[in-house]
Amino acid sequence: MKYTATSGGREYLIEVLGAESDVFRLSVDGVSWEVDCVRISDRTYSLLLDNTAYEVDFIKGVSPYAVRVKGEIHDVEVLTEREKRMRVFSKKVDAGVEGRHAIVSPMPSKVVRLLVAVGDQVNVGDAVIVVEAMKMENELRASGAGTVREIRANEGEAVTGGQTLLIVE
Amino acid sequence: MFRKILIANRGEIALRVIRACREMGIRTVAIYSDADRAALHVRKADEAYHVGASPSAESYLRVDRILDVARESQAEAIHPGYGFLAENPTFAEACEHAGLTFIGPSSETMRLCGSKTASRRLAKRVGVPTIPGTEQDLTDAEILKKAPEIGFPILIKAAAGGGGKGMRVVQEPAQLEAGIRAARSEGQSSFGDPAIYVEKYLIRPRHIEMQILADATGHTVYLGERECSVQRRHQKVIEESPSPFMTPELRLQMGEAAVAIVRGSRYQNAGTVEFLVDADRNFYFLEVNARLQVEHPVTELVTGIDLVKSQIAIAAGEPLAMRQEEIKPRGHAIECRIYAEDPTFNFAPFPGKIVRYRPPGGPGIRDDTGVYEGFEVPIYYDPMISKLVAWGKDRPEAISRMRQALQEYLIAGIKTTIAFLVEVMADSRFLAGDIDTTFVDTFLQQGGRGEARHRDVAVVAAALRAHFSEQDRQGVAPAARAVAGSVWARVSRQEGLRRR
Repeated sequence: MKYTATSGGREYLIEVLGAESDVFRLSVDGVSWEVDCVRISDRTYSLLLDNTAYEVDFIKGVSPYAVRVKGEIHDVEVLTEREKRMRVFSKKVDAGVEGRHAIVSPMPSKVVRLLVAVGDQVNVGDAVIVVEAMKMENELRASGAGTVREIRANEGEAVTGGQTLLIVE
Repeated sequence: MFRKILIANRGEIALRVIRACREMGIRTVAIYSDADRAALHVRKADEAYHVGASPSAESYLRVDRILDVARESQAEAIHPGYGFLAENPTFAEACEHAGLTFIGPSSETMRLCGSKTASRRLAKRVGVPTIPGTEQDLTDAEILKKAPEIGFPILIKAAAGGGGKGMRVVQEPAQLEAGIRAARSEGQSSFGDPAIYVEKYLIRPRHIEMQILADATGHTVYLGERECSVQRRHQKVIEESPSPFMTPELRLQMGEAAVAIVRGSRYQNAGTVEFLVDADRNFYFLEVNARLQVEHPVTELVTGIDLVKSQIAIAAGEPLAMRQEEIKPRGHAIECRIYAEDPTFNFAPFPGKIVRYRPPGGPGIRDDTGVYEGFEVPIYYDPMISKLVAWGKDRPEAISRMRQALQEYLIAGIKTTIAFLVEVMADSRFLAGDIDTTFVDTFLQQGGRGEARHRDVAVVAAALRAHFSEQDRQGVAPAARAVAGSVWARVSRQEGLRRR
């Protein structure tokens, strides 16, 4: 099985060649790795690489993962071959609607105020919506210029992390 | 001694008080809002009563509901914790009227300490230096006249403010009028009071506070200082005791100043006197915090004195046995506040479900937490979820213990400030004790060290995780052994059964 991992602005091609009990034979960008991997829990793995022990914690358990190793936290996105093909495909589709920007809620919160209406023109950096969590208000800003096409949340509504609130195009 | 105490709070401090009560054989009554039904303090209490909907104003701030619960549960005393109603004189008074013992100072003392202007007047009266500034709630015209006398930069403060809120720095005379308008408006909307006063703004001061204990007879002692200069937007992040900047002479002067102020307000119970200290070791009185503070553990670890049990004993009328000469701090303690915030997104709060919770251990490590694995951190309250405290024989040992403990600490499912704290523990200025109230801003500006020595291992582990997910999806038997419920354990159990 082949995977493409992206972290720190770099892509890695990883192939799982085989496994024998706990030991996995991998090819990482063409280099052979033998990784002894045991799952301590759903969020913690114990890796042995050439007898060097690494305890790996997944602070975020779905891709893009937040992986902690020896105190360093790295964001790693991993795609299967199929997912990579789908992504290239959807980029082609989006190219037809280039310049589409979604404003996404970064965390579970409540929509306090909508600062724009459908049809308004916005520039990069304009505040478009105010969300509140834990007694603090945060202004979310447009990441691209254009017209507000869709507003997908109402004032007073509770939203989840990652939920699309607004589309600018 | 009390038989039953109601804890009018939530989270880690409620659990802290519950533990002290359990040690003393006192029954505990917890209160909870809708969001906190499954909270740790409810689980650990002897009795628990629902007080209202999740927003604080509808639950933890409901004086009437809390007094109802006290009546119904027949609690004899109320411990207010910190925040919420802890420094609310109306609440303390209502407890007094209801025949309940409020574990803290009297409502009268609280009123005095709660007014920044009144407490500055008290400090002057007992001969403790204060920051050049005004003593009364002034009109705009008076402030405009006084400001140049005090000297710029100037700090405008809300008279009813606290906890670092309701403050504004004005660098030049031209910005003063706008600053006054904004400060009054914030004072009104945040605290319901537009009264403001002004002070000289000290450049790069250190925030050093003194812990005091006073009993009903007025016998007062100080338990050493805490250095609290590592703050972000005036919210404390890291505290330690002793202060690396302290000298025995300064400790004596500040300790005696704290005691003088506290005696002057007829203070009873635990309290903290805050000072600002400039680079020349001149100290200036800031305010009295008439409550138990968040960072009390660092004092407990270096003095060996349980502050919460002391509070309860004092409130029950027991005289304070300790003499000032007997209080001898030992070693060094550091506390890191762990917040459910995303340090990479301007520390925006990050509520959500804690999927994995694995606190650290080892010698000298103390974790005062309010959460557990599976708990849904609510959006309604302060995002501090635990306090990690490390004690060592000296400051370097405390720091290295803290660093190891932070790296061991796993909280998954939400974002926390743990990674940020790890970097501070490795920062050369922090290690040198070269800290003041500008430390965090400077630290954040210089950017993280962004160590990436083990990125490749992270990438490989992530790829394996994706691989396991793929196999699950395809219905293939898992390749990696899962320790929980491992195949080997199952096989050996079956073998064992068969042999019998």
